Amino acid sequence: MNALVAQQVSLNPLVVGEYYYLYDPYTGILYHYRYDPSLGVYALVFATGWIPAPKLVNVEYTDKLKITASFYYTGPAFSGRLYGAIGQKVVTVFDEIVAATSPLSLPDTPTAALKTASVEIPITTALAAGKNYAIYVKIQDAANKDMVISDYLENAVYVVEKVPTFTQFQITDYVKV
Amino acid sequence: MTGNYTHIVEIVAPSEVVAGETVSVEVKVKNLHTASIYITVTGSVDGTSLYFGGVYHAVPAGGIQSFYDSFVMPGSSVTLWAWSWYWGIDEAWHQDDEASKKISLAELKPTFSNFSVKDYIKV
Repeated sequence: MNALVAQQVSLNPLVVGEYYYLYDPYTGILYHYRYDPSLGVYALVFATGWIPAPKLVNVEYTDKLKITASFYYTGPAFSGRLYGAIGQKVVTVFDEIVAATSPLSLPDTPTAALKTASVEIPITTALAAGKNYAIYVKIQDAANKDMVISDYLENAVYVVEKVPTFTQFQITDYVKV
Repeated sequence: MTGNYTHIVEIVAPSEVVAGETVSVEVKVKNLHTASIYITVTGSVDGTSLYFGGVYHAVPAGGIQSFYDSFVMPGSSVTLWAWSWYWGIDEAWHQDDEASKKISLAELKPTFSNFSVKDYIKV
């Protein structure tokens, strides 16, 4: 779960548009701060948690992983994209390895309505075989600004290691040559 | 502006509201008279009358009384008008002070909630 939060903190500005992370080890929540040059402060824009994935999906290099997101939307007509990524947990941050997007268009929605959207991420050799990976999705606007971000699902994907497999191995014939 | 016996000290209402949202309004009126008088408030917004519950209050000299009402924000910016009234010795209501506040139409912003991964499968 996550929500846009209007809290602010005073920190030294780093790079405009880049995130600054704070991790609460007691709750497992990762706080995403982004520098707002108009206010001169870092604003807390997202809070995401690392949570265990509800299932582990086995994938191979020729596969794609289809992630479906659900959410409630209120607002004017929206054009953006659903962004999905597969990666790994590095300390507390999501280290993206492969990602993909799909266009997202929403009509003018004056009252909150339940929506779903999907994105398909190709399984490439950038992902090491024989390992578990995490996933997450987010919505970006037309300018690629993050609008909302999901929790990080840990151990959601396993890349199956393809090993040479021989079966029914036998001598079919033998002749003098 | 100040009336003869009353003064609308403040209109408390948001300055920006999205269409369709209920706007709560508080009008604070001060008794300028040297004795307690009955005060009430009426108003108007976008051609609709506001009666602030149709109540009146006995307000002591120098006292400030709040009156409350609400309306649904239309699809354009509006000006909220409020009028204070006092009960005279002629046993009639007299319109006294007047105040207004502009309430701008806020642009509806994209809002996402309960965003989560619903499912993921191999395809």
